[in-house]
Amino acid sequence: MGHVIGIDLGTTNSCVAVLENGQPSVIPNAGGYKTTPSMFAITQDGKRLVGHLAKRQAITNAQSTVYASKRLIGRRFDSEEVQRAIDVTPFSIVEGPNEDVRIEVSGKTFTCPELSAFILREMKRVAEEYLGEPVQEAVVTVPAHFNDAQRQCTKDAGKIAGLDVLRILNEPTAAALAYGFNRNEEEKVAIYDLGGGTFDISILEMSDGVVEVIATAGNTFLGGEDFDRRIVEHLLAKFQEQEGIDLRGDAMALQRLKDAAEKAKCDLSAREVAEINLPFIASDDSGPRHLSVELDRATLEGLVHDIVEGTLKTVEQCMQDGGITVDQIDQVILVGGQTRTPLVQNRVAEHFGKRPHKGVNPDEVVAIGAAIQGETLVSEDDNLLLLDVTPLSLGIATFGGHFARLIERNTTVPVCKSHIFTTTRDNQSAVKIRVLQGESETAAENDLLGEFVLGGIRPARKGEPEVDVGFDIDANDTMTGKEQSITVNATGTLSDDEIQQIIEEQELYEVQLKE
Amino acid sequence: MKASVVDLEVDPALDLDPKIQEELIEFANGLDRPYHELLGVAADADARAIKKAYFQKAKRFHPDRYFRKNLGEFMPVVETCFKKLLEAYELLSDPATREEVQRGEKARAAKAARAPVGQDAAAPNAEPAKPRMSGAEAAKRLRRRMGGLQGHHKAKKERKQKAKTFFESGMAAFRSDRWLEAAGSVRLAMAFDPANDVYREEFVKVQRKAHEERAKQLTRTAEGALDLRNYQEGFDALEEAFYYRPFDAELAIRGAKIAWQGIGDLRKAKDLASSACELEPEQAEYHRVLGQIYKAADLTANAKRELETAIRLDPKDKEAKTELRGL
Repeated sequence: MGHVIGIDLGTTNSCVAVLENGQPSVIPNAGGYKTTPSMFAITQDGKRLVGHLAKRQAITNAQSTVYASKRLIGRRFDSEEVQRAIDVTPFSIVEGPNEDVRIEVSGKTFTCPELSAFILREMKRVAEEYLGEPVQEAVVTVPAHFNDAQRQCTKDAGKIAGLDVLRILNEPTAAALAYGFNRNEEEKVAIYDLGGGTFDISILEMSDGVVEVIATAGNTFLGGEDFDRRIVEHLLAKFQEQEGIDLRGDAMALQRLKDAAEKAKCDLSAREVAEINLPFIASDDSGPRHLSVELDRATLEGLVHDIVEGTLKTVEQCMQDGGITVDQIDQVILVGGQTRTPLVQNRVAEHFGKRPHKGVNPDEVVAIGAAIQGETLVSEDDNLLLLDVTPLSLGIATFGGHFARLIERNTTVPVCKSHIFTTTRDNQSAVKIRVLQGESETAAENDLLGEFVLGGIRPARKGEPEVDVGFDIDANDTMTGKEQSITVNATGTLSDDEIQQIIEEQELYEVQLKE
Repeated sequence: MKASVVDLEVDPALDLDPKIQEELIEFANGLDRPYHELLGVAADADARAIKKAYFQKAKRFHPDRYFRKNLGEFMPVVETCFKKLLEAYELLSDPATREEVQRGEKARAAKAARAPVGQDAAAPNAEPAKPRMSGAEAAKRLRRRMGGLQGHHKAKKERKQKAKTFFESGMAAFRSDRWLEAAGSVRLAMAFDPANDVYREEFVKVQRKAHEERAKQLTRTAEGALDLRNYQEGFDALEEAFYYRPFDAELAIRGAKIAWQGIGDLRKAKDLASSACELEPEQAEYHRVLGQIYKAADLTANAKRELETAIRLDPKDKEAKTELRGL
């Protein structure tokens, strides 16, 4: 039997790991790097590039280089998040036929699962080269706060990439698995995961080889990219002040600024001051202009301070959900590259009253956890069991547009809860059930997973018939409404036919490349 | 629990340790036992012991343990057992629910124990004498009761206030023609203050109006769309109109015809035509249409049944006869 790989499909970087002889290891790519940029590009001569190759040419080819597409996956085109992204990205984001998001690169339109599939396929290839054998099965991680549509799209991406995705695993949970692997202590652990584009906090309890998620919370549109964006905004303002030129409309300049911002941010984790020099960033009648700005750590902290405080509010909410106080936490683990920032480390330490655990690499720990979960699923031994929860409440729209929760967030899965519905009119023969996911009391503000009509109700006076509907969430966190055994499919995801079509198209493309 | 579980036997051919199979059968056959017995702990076990027991059993009962393994008929059993185990753990690990659950279990057990001597229940002295409560205990109980009562009054007042707010916003919505919203709000007012007859009366009025208006509006939309041969839009509107007038068989059968001939959605066509037949089972035309839809979906047996019903109801229905011959 082949290996099961674990893939951390990140907003900015991705990472792949595998368990060999019971020991987890992160697989380096051909360039020797343990992480690969989650970027895809099409060059002017039509060549498709992924990872470092794509990143290297991003500046000169900004409009045809896609990054951070994970922030768009599974979202509706008209959502606030997508609209915000359109304003700040150099590549073109368009609306797809199912109100979904598509991205146009060099005249060709791609779905978000397709773009994620390019990255997954690359990670698969990296693993295959390292292991010297084909890889078919994988566990792929997503932010804990991803909703059903986002998870489904990630699964589709796996399918397109030719992978059998055994499980979609929550990133902080994966980190906890990696931390708890071969440890036999009884402890409560907080995972603070600030990645490129998402923030998650999870509280877990471990004992006797069981890892139980107690509570999880997060924000799928907040992360390191926001740090970068704040720096870019700062640089743009500075430049305008100094030179009187607004660089906002210049895609190439924006891409250079973005790269420089990211680099300065990383530098400032180790140093107090970073210099940003971008020669020939613009030009006007009086000749070329150069950007030269000094950024110190205090200024950076001033720029991003509120983002970090926002994450701590989410931490508080999560602790309350789990009924846990800070003094009950034995370990705090930092995950995600953004937690290298001293401000983040200090604020987290202050909040929990203890220094974070240093033993794990924040960039690699998620992929390792995914590999561990993959191996645990297929292996025969029972020394590790994960008890995961559903991150978002599940319920139905009730009369008047209100949201009735049937399965509360942070409920251990698999779970089954049933609920009795009744009619609102005399002789009503059917009830329409709209299944929603989210935390708002107003139905319209939550995500619609699907709807179905329960028919065949015996004519009776209103309120008399009782229709018992069971809701089931399996360990994959996908859900079914039982009574009529209809699987509720998220809106905006791809149909099986579409996936098949994309796979064939890509295969065609691969063949073309080889010729 | 399904009765079939009882019939399951240990099958050594499965990817499941026979010992665990035995354990599962035993667990599944005793799902109505007290929760602490399901977990295998004493009735007064502490939180730690409960968690430990849950973890230990979860390791054997969690479906992930048997991911893509051949469990045969045991797969649903594993799922049921884990879900029940989870229920037991969740209820017993929260002190509030635990107290309630265990009180209920005790009462049940006591009743079951009394049952065999039920015939003698009429005899005097069958009821054991109540033990006297100590003064301190009685005071404590009284305090708890009072506290509970006060809380109850407060909650009731809050609920009334909430009901009023909902009712007022409902009436405001009604005045500005947002009938559906109005009905929803008044309904909530009613739920929070069920004793208030004004809410009840208003609700009936508001809801009837809301549904009638919405159905009318949708029918108009449908008419317009169908004139322009925009079948999908027309169908959607008709389907929704039927939702608001679920007694209107004519609406259902129109929807069915459009689903069948206009947009080719045979499933929806079938559902709507069936609803029409259910509402007015004596209408030959409805059965004929349903039969034709079944025929289009290649469900010959069903088609035959419906067409024959149509002919039985209306022996002069030529179309039905032609269709039946074509089968």
